[in-house]
Amino acid sequence: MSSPLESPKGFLRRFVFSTDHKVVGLQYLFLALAAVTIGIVLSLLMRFHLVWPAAHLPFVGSGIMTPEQYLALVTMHGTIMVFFVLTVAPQSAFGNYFLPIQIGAPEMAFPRLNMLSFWLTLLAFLCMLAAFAVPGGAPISGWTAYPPLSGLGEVTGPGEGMGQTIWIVSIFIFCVASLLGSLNFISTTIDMRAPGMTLMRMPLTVWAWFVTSILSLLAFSVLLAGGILLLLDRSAGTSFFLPAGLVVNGEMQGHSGGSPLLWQHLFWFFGHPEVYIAILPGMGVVSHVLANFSRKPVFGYRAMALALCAIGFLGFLVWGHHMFVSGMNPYSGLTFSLLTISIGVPSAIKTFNWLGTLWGGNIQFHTPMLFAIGFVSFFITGGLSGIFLAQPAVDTMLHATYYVVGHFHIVMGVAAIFGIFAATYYWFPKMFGRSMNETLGKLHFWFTFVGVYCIFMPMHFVGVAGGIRRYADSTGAKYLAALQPLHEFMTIAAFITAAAQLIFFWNFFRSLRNGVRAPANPWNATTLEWITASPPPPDNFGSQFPSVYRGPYEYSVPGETADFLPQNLAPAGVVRTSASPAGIPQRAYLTGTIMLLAGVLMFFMALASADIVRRGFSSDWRPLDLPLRVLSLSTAILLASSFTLARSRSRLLANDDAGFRHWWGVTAILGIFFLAGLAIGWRQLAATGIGLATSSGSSFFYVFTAAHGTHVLAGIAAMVAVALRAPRHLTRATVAAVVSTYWHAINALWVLLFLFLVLER
Amino acid sequence: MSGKIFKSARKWLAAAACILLLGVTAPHAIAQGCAMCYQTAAASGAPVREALRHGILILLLPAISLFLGIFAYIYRRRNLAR
Repeated sequence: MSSPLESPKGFLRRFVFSTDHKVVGLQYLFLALAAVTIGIVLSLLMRFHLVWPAAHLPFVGSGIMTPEQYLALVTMHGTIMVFFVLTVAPQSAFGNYFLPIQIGAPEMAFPRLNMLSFWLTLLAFLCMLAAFAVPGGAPISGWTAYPPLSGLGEVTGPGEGMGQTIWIVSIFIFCVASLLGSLNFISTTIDMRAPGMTLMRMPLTVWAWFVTSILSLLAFSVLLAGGILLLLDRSAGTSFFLPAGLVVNGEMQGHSGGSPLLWQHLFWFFGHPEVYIAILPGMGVVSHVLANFSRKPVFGYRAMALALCAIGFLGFLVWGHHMFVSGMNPYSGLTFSLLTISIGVPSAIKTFNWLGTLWGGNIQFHTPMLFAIGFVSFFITGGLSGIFLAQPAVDTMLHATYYVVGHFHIVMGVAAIFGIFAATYYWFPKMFGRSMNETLGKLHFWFTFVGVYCIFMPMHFVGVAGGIRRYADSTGAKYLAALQPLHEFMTIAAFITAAAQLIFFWNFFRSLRNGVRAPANPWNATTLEWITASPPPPDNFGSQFPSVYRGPYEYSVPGETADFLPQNLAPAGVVRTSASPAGIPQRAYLTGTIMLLAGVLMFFMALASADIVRRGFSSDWRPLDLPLRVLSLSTAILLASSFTLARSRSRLLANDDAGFRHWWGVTAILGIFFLAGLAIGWRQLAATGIGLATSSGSSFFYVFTAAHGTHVLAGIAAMVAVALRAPRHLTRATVAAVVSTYWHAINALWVLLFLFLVLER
Repeated sequence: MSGKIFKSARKWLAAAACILLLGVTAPHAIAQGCAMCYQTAAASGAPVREALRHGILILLLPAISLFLGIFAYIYRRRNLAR
């Protein structure tokens, strides 16, 4: 494979299997466009059915949509929009394209990993769509996939057979892709910044992508663990989420002791931060665009950066709080409550500072600016309707109604999508070297802005009046009849708003070929993406790597003649230094490994947490008779391998190549012995009749050991690969440091797991 | 000088008042985020709630530690260029 900094030859390498972060970013963008188109079509079908439930649809099997088919649309619309649009477009698409350029880097830290992340995401998307085509169709359990509906299989309805299994596999692949992507983003931000690009000179978009990556790294690991357990419940007969005594369609289900609450516990650990994963990049883009088109620095830049970090941090506490305090003395939960409600503070800081940025500015109402202002409007509207849902008494009444649908669509869906639109119109000239049509852009904005308010504001009234969400047909209920005109209004608004998106698509694809040629810096902006050609060359800066001397938003600086000062413009009297050459610093590989281990740790913590919660639920829990002798021996072998690896590294540092290879090989062999020990332990358990689904204790034992064994196997594979062929871009010292860090951490993790399993007895 | 001290004291008093206000209102925000999850948890037996609390801490503490740890990591490298 060619070096990532050279322009690859041939169509396939240049546009399909490219490691260039800009191509990968565009691939993500086109994937998101495809996904949002499908998502919109599904939502229109739902709206159509709600108003005309008896209408014949040519592509529905029996002609009239069944309630199950409606629920399948609900599930797939939610899943596609949340995962493949709101997570992919703002973070993976624009983040991939612009993060390296904005920090003055020639590439992402791990270009091949980046390419792999995209192809895994595409695979996940195709898998998700395949759920429509399998017998029974798409799943009906909603995007939250609550068990027992999602855990029992075909018996609970069409779509809950193969369709649900494919859904889980797709989410599994998506989680892996997101983890790889996020560790790449974090390593790039930490280790690839240009000289002078200190933390407080990073654009707010970079801050937003960085914080979002941390959230993704920690949250998707937990969803991955939950997904594996759910898949085992469906396919291996375990009972993590499925209680005893379930009777479905007259059939007694053979599960015992699990609880759907355990899924809620794991899923919402991901679900709460996911809201911020969707919205934070939009906040970054909006701050960036507002400053540019107000010709003013971002009001309170430092506070804005800290607010982004605080929102990310407090997002986890919000999750912890809402179940943690249950059953406690209210005053015991005071600290938690205090921290939880304080999440309103950074959100308010952001809103206040956006308005502060606009205040007194020389505002230019270009299309990206309109969408940025639209974002602020939706963020405030959705935030205000959220206040009512924070009150338990009100929430209990409104939870299953359209009020919640209206609220989360405005604050999480529409606001985030307005951020995506702002980013698209703003960066289109940079990405494609041509400008989008401004008149069509403004027309698109006004239709969409008014349209989405017409769709989602009435939902609040419908919800307050008792209109229940997820019902396929509410025309049969007398008390809901009065709400039908509102439903008709929303449906018409939805069709008009969807039609308005054709203006966007026309403008987008037409401008790719026929748009007016854009100069390098059409918006007179300050950040580093605007100092290079449009579109940027393969190494981003044509070998003229920038040094940074200024903050990201130096607009209308008093005493200066120009109303904007690019970040690479050296102040008078400062001698410009040449920036470092292109290339990936060796320390980035270690950073990437540490981030990978952070994700791995969260994955195992999710399993440990599930084990503890599951044990609390169990009436059937009993200690497992572990094969202690063989496990102890395996643990000793694994610990010994840490010493041999340390020995190998010291031989390498002493330039003793033969010694390095010898101890390196011994470590790999000890790893294989450890795996053999685990296999013997499994066999001993199986011989006594204890299988994966025998009890919750045995289920967790097999899951823990299989998951850890997989990580040990990956470490052995890395050692063998390095022994056979040294990686081209890494020094041997870096390889040894990376493998050692991984191996020691995995070994330490095993010791903790072993103690956990033993103490659990 | 005394004016400066007075100004500073006023600032601290205002901050303390804000924190107090948050503290007073905090217990009422018992189920911020989702009343349904809270109620499902609260409707379970005492051992379940206890297990849930432990489970939440097991997930929350590493998440918060790692979040802060990554920021400490980037802060240590705040002036390192490529």
